[in-house]
Formats: sequence, structure tokens, C-alpha cells
Amino acid sequence: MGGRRAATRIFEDVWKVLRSAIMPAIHPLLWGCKTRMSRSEIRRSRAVSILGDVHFWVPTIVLLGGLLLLRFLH
Amino acid sequence: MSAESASSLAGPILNLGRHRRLQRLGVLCGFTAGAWLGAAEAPTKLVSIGISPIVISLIMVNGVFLARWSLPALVLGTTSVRADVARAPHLVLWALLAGCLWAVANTLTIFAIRDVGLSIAFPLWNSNSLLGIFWGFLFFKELRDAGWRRWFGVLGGTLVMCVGAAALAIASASQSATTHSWNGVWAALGAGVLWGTMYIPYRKAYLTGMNPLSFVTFFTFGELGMMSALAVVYNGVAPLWHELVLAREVIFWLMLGGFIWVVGDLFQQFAAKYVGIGRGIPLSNTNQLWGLLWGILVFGELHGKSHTTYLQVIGGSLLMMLGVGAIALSSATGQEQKHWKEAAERESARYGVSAEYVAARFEGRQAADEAEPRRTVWDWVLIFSATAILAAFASIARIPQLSLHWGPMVLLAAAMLFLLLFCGRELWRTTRFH
Repeated sequence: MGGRRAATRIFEDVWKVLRSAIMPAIHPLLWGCKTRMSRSEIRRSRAVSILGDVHFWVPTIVLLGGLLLLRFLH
Repeated sequence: MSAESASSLAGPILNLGRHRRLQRLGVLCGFTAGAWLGAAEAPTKLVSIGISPIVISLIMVNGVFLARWSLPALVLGTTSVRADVARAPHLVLWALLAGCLWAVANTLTIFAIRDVGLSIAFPLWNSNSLLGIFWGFLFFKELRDAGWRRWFGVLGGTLVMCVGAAALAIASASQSATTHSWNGVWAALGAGVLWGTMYIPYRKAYLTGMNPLSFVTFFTFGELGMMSALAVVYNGVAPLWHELVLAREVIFWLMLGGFIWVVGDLFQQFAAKYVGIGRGIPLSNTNQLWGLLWGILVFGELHGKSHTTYLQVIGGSLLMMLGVGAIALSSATGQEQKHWKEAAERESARYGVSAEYVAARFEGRQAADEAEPRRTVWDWVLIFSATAILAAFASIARIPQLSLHWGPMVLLAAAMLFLLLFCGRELWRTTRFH
């Protein structure tokens, strides 16, 4: 039992280090926002905001048009 | 999204002194951008072996990639980039999108020059500044309540610059024989539309508060990714590799061109931030003037040409300077600034970015809760790696046999360095590069 508890504690410590030090560095998208919403809610909300933003669609459509033009010219 | 962002940026419009200082800074950044972007063409003139334009573009973009990571690491440190992305992660998407737009536009210009020549292609894609004014007005409330004098200054100045640019392009391409085709016209117009639209992500990022030094680090992934994909699609993997090996002796010069281009582009980004895209793009489009100065004075282009050609060059240059002057003197008024703030509020509310952060960056300063940017060991690793890669290619570079006019070259280089140091110092003193 003692060994199992010690292993669990080590696992928890490792997880804490990972979460606090490494994960924010490789995935700042999730850890940067100061909010009470859950992470999945933030991501969903952000995705909705992006997809409903004309500033996203205009450059995207122009980019697709540019790629089509390149294909046509080639 | 977050409660924090619900508060508005409302408050007094930026104090007049600070506002004027930022406007002057933006104009200065636009001029400096023109000088460095124009000089970026110089190293590429040293390359005369037969490699395809797409491969030349790809190698330059690799130099650009190195610079886009090492320069921000040197100036502020990548901790600042991480902090910026943590506050506005959605902007990474726009940075990638802008990078892709740049790469496709750049490839289209290659087709345009091939099909209709520089004299027709350049004025067509230079229309990007007009489109920039349109997007700035439509999406970011630029030139709203600006008064007819400022409208006349910006729009009239841009049109005059376009005419001047056309004259310069005709003069500089007076001997090139090209087959005129509608394909080339479409390619040039397409490049103009793509480049003009690329400024939507720029302005969005800077209204939200992201530092230009942070934005370009992600922009370059879109740029390099799209350019690599296009090079592979058009050349194939094996022929592409063969061409790269063939070009190994000139890779350094092309990467150096990319590196110089990034310095200019960074100033262009700061210009877009402080004077908006409607004014920032035309100002940095003066790169054509600088490119021509390098061509004529250093590389001896136009030597022995007719008086008409010289008249076109002088007339075109004067028109461009006139246009630049008109734009530089049409800085945004307090009323227009109020509309800029409304556009910034939209971004803050929509994406849950702290209003205090957006307001602080709008005024070119750090937010109260931001940590001081600092360099870590990783920044030095980045800087030394980029330097080592450039040094490695420099060691195998062939020194081209060209007759250069050293006197004008030293003078132009000195003018560029002066602008870099002066504008860099002003940026540091006024905004600490924020």
C-alpha cells in the first residue's frame, strides 16, 4: 500500500511539474486566458468568434481565389 | 467572452502630445521601411546563375524565416512573444493567413513579370495601397471623420504615388522584351488584391495590441509553409533539391536579401500600427524609389539610356515624393483616433482580450500587469543558430564578379544605417518597441 501511495505521489508531482512548466510553454493557447470558463468552452467560444468574423472570411476567400488563379495560370 | 473584456476602452482620447508623437513615429517607420525594403533587392542582383524565380523566392523566404525569429529574440526576447500569444491566441491564425497571402502574391508577381514585364505589372500590383485604404476604412474605421483635407492628402497622395511608380517602372523596364498577355495582367492584379488584403490581419493584430515583433514570428510559418508547398508543386521534390544544390554558392546572398527585407518589414509593421494601413502602406511603398537608387547608382543600370528614360525616372521620383509628403502631412485627427479606439474595442470585446492591455498597446506602452520582457538562454540559442547558419552559407558563397560603384553604395548603406539607428532609437524611447 505504501509503495502504491508513494508511486501516486510521484505521479502527481510529475504531473504538476508538467502542467505548470512545460505545457504552458508548448500550448499557450490554453493557459494564457484569465477566465472562469472551462478550457473547452473557451476554445468553442473562440472558434465561434473566429468563424463569425468577417475579418477571417475576407482574407480566406481572397487566399483561395489567389490559389485558384495560380492554378489557372500554371 | 471574459468578464474582464466587458469593460470598454472608453476614456479620454489619447492625449494630443502622445498622439502626435506616435503619428510622427509611424511616418518615420514608413520611411525607414521603404529604405530597407528597397535595399533588399540589392543582394539578389548579385545572383546571375540560371535558377528559377520560385527557387530564388524560396531561398529568400528561408532567410526571412531566420530573421523573423532571431530579430525579435534579440530586441525583446521570446518571453514577450509567448506573453503576447497567451493574451490573444486567436491572432496566430491571422498571422498564418497573412503569411500564406504574402507567399501566393509573391509567386503571382513572378508570373506577372514574366508575362507583361515590370512596367505593366508593377503599377497593377501597386494598387494594393488603394485596397489597403478601402479595407482600413471599411473594417477598422480609418479616415472616419477625418475631413476632406486628410482624405485628399491620403487618397490623392496614394494616386500620385501610383502614377510616379508607373513612370519609374516603365523607365526601369525600358529594355525588357516581354510577350504581353492577359494572364500577366490577371496575375499582377491578383498579387495587388492579395497584398492589399494581407493588411487586414496586420491591422487587426495591432488594434488588438499584439506587438509587431510577436506577429511576424507566426506570420513566417505561413510564409515559409506556403512558399515551400508552391515550390514543391511547381518544381517537384527532386528537381527542387537539384536546383537548391546548384544554387548553393548564391544561397547566402539571397538569404541576406531576405534578412534585410525583414528589417524593412518590421518597420512597415510598426508604421501600420501607428498610422494605420491607409497611410502606412503607401509610405513603405517608397521602396521602389530606393530600389531604383541602388539600381542606378550602385549597379549602373540605365547607363547610356535616352534622355526620355532619365526624365521618366526624375519625374516619377518627384511624383512619389510629392505623394509621400501629402500622406505624411495627413496624420489622423483626434476624431479619427476615436474611431480607431472603437475598432479596438470591437476586438477586445469579441475575443475577450483585456481592455487594459488593448488600451495600453494602443498608446504604445506596456500594460500595468505585464512582466518586463527579458531574454532567456533560448533567445541566445536562436540568435547564435541563425548567425551560424548564415555564416555557414557565407563560407561557401561565391563572390560575384560585378562592377559595383562603391562610393554610392557606402553612402546608401550609411543612409540606411542612420535610418535604422534613428528610427530604432525613437521606437525604443517612445514605445519600448511595443
